Amino acid sequence: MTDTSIDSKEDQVFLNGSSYLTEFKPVFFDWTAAIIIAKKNLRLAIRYPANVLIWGILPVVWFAPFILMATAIAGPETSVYFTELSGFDNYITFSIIGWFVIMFLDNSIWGIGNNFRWEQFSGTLEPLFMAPVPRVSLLLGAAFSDSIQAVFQTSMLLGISTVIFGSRYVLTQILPIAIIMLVMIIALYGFGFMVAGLIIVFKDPSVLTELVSEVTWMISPVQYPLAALPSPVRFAAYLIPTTLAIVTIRELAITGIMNVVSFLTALCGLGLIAILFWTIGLGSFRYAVRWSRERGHMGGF
Amino acid sequence: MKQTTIEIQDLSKTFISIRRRAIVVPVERKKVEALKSVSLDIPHGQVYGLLGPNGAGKTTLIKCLATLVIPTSGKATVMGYDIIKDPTYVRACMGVCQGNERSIYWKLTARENLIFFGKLYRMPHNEAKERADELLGRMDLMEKADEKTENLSHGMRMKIVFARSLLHDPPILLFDEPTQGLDPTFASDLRTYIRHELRDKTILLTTHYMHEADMLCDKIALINEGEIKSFGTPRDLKEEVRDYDSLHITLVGKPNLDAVKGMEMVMSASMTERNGHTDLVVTAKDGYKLARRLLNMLHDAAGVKVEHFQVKEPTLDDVFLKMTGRRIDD
Repeated sequence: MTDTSIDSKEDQVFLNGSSYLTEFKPVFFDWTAAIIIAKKNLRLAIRYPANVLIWGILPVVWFAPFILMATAIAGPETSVYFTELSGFDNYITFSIIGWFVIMFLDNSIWGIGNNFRWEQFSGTLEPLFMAPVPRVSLLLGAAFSDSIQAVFQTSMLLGISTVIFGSRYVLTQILPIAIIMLVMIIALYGFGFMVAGLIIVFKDPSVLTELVSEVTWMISPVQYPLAALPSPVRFAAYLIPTTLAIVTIRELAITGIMNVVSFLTALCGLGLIAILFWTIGLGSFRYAVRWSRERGHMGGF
Repeated sequence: MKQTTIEIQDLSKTFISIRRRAIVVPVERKKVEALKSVSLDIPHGQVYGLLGPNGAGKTTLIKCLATLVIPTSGKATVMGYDIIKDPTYVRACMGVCQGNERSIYWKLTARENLIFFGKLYRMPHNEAKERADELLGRMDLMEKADEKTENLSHGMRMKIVFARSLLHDPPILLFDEPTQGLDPTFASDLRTYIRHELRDKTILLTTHYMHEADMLCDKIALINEGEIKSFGTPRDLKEEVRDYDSLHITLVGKPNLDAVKGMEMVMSASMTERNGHTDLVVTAKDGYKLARRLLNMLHDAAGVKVEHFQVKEPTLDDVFLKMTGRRIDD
């Protein structure tokens, strides 16, 4: 076999006619690529006008029946038993925080994986995978756009809820809330990578993501306090990044009291979950991509 | 300076399809050998064609080189970079055009699509924009640059897909059925572009259009059922199946058939008359050698004028038929 390696810059420039290849080096992560993928996704989303409805209105539509049901059962705002169980006296303010946080989980479950599925279905996944872009950048590009959509959704949710239900929060603790949210979102990205891997293998995301979504929804303390869950389920709930975030953010946003120890504990817990989820997520995504390349399934439906 | 830019050695790919009962229980494993020990070396600046029917393994080979499919065995390098060990370098070295108009974003404009993909190849925004505009201009799409691609015709979209493969000016281009489904004008435009504008590129082109392979390729590999059946220049391939050439001549007047038959190299000659014209068919081992002498003789003959002359060679389809027992379009 002939040695064909390109052994000088002159060879490369001659072959290429530009300096592109001479300067090319693979990187572990390409920020620029992730950002342009995110921008592209957002641009595409905006060009489907129905998305505005989904971003803006649907979260409130999903959330309102639960509030109405709770109000019908326990009366406006609270019940004695709820206060005993949760430590909070306003059911609506309590559950809006749950909904606010869970929107990010929902986006990470549906968003990244569905984005890959959409690219696959559109016929654009193969060109993306043929570009010299690290896979993690493709994933994070999709994740960033989902997070921006989630921020929009949750802002709408908070705004509309404030107007309709009159809920009020303490804004002085916004910095620690932002820190907790950031670490939670990073952890959720790992979760999203795992789901994206599953979708690349199993193709049809609906049943799979529905299952993951419903299970995480059920064990997350969105509508009810953690104490309402049976003990083993409560343990499982702590493995989902949103649980620690919901519990901590409720404390900060509703009471306005910052307990440094519990805040740092939650932050460390989320950090550990983030490391765990990223390890599992990236590992499973890499495996899924290899599995798919071995079977020639990458662009298949 | 090393010359070979794509080296393929004994590359094989076997797909396993599993039929399942009750969703999970596998009942039948079927092996499909998409590529069987394919070897091919493509030197710098050459256009090589893979010619074969649907399902012959052309796209699988392209996908292996494009790092989308992992081969079962064998080795392939692109500019010295192994497709398994150095996939990122391989991707950077090449532009790929698949004959699929869906591989661009229909909700983005032509320019936005090209800029987006240019940036994925690490081009700064302004450079990507300039390059996008340059390519759109060359493809006669400048007027449509800001149209969403969903509003463009199939041919225009294919031109954008084609332009995308050229964005980062890669030394190697893989074209997988680039003109499939295009109307003759668009197909001709793309062929002309490949022929005249991409002379310094190393190109691997798959097609099942024989005239396209004949027109564009320096060498052609005839591929069927995952195997390369024959390989060479279009002329060499035709030589392999050429038993004789036939010269078809339309004349005004009537030549001396016995004189034609008596010429050196002539194997047979026949003549038919219609409406004052004569159709003369002469067969010979080498039609091109005979042609000049025959035309001179007819020119000198009294009352005879040559109106049309053609040496009919075997086509690549004839070659394919002889090698595989089937026609490419079967």
